[in-house]
Amino acid sequence: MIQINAPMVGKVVSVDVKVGDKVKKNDVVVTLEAMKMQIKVYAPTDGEVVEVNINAGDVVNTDTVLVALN
Amino acid sequence: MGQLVDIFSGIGVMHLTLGNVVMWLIAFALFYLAIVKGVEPLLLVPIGFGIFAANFPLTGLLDEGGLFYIFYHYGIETELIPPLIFLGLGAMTDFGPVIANPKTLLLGAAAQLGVYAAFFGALLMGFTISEAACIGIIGGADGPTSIFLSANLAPHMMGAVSVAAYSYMALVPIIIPPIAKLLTTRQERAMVMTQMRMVGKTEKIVFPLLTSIVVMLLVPKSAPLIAMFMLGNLFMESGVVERLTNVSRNELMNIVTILLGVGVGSTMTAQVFLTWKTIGVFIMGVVAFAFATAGGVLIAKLMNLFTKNKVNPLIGAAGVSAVPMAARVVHNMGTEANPQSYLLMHAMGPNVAGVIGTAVAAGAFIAAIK
Repeated sequence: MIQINAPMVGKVVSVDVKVGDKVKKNDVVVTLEAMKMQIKVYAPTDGEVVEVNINAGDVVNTDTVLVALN
Repeated sequence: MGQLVDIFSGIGVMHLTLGNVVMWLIAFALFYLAIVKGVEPLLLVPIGFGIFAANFPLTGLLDEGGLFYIFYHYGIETELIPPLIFLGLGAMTDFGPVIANPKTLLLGAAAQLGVYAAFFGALLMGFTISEAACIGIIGGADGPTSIFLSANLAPHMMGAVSVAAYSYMALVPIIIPPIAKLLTTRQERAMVMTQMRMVGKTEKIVFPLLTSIVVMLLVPKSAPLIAMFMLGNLFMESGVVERLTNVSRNELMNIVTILLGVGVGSTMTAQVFLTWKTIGVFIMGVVAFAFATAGGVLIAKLMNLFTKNKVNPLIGAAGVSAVPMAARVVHNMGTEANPQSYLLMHAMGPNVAGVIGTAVAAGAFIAAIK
């Protein structure tokens, strides 16, 4: 299982995948906001989403696992 | 008949010059940029109106005791307002990225190369040494510092220098990418930087104190800016004076921004602004920005030759300050080269270090020239 952590402290703008979705490397999985900027978090590899731990509006830290892939 | 002439000569329109009208057009151009294009509206609206109102004849606004004279004389000439702005900036600046990766302080310093490149360029163009210093500081991309330095060294240049600084800051997304791309390979830009460590509260409290000690001992003349910058930061990081933190970064900042904007704008009367020197300021300003970007990137590459934990050279470009826009531009360039790369927080290090660097450069100019 591959866990995708938040790359920086920020607020979740949107979660762009749901459990069961198949994603390809560099697909957007989550959009964060930090420093008044929208930051897209991309999937590091191909895989299937097995876990989504956050909702839009959550504040995340660098130790927060956003999404896990299989 | 004589009375009739007196009445007419007391009407402003009889004294309006072509220069006044040109300055109005410049003011309208700034309004357009601010209102339609959203470029630095908090500054360009008051500056633009200061220019506009200062270019009406017979108003007395700029005469000794006039309203704009008071704003300018007591707020800016005495160097009161720029440090107050720095207080507010300090209360919003997170030095965490610098503390986590202190090497980035060097990158913030490297970007000051642009300041010196433009300084020497301006000297060659025939500007006096004081004027050249004010032009060079544009490369620091820091408005209050530019105003502080020109109040100190060359007050007649203040209008042109500050408008050039604020306009080029708005152009950061256009100026940085071509230069940063030219100096880096795609592979370098695609480099992923490892996650930064978390910075503790104690470190964040010690940082402003330690920085004050080091900077004010080395460059005493930068003290007005650095002291207030670090005080604001200590307000925020201490966590015990929330009211002071909030008033510094909100109400106080907003009030002094109005006085600063109008005061700076009012220095731009036709006879002061419409000279070839203003054109020189704008030309050298862009040189300053370009060299600042290049300096940061090149020093980052140089640093990589000697260190184990390499940095993505793009973050050097954020050393031009213009917080946080330069960091955002760098982040976007990194993502473009490699979607797996998140440079924003790494770029904030040189970015905030650049603010300190520019204040230090200004202090060094004052010490050397005044």
